[in-house]
Amino acid sequence: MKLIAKLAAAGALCTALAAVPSAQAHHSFAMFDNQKEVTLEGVVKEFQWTNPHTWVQLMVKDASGKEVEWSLEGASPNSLARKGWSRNSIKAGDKAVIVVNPLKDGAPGGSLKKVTVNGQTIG
Amino acid sequence: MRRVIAFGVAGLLAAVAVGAGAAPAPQSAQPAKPAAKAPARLPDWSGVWENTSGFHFTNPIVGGKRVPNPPPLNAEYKAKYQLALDAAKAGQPINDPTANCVWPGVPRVIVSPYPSEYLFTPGRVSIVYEYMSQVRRIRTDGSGHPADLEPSYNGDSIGHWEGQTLVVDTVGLRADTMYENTGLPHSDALQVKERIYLAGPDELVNEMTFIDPKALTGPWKTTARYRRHRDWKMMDYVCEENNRNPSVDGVTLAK
Repeated sequence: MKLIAKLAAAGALCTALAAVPSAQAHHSFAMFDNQKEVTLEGVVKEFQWTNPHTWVQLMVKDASGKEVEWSLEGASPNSLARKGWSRNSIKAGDKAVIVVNPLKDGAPGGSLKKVTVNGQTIG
Repeated sequence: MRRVIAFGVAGLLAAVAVGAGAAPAPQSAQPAKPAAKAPARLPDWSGVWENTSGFHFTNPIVGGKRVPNPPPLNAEYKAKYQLALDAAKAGQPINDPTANCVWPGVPRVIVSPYPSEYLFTPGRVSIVYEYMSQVRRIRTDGSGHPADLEPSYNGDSIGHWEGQTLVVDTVGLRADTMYENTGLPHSDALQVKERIYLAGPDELVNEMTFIDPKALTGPWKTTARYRRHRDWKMMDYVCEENNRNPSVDGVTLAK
């Protein structure tokens, strides 16, 4: 949580983030808390450019320094491709800063809102 | 060349002769009425159409703003809908068939967030939706709805042209699909009336009326709008490719 607070305070960074179109096509997103935003910084383990939704598997260090794998659900490739994304927009090993609406149940997952990869805005 | 054409004509005549000599064509239960003819010049609906009005009939986007459009539900369906709304509020949305890649059905597919395209062939308009690779087949040959319809996801659609407006009537819909992902239910008595027309060079409008005597106390109207993209291509949408949001025991997950 300390990390999150620090990142949220970095306003300049936040303004560089690209908005990701919301992804509510396929199912309800009621399992995510859309009133809450969490900023995660980590290394991409995998980018799944798939339907019905894209997913970023992000390795994030928690407060104790332990690596935790987050599952971050994005819009479909169909929506993202039309916003300028491609299957190569995010790659394993990329350093990413990702803003999400977290899962309400507290599990390490969320609905992807904004993405910056290796300092570059996507979208 | 002339020879080829001559043979071609001969072949055609032969085919016609064979056809004439064959057994009489089977009687259709719903013969086409010659009166229901498409206009001499059909409108240009080519290209790929992006839905710009959102995908909630209860809350469509009009002029950039969401405008509440509450359905006139009867008491029974109001209670059913409230269960779905309460479940979503609690973070455990009720079973949505599309979460398990079951087709959205009509009318939900009409406002799916992925694009669509229109195909005109004699006696028929087909609407192809990118979402779950759906096709709606609308007969424009003057035939009516069959008397005994087995409920289906996209129902039975008949249409006719009023000038440059396509008028569509759909019945025979399943009761186990939803209007939208808020869980709004309808019955198998749902009738969907559509008037589809160009409102501008690149704007298509679909004015809908939902009539459902088992669920609604009166007609419920809504309008969807679409923007033309001549340079877009329809893409794959295979819901089963990597579905990490299955609905298990009535709860949609994110795994």
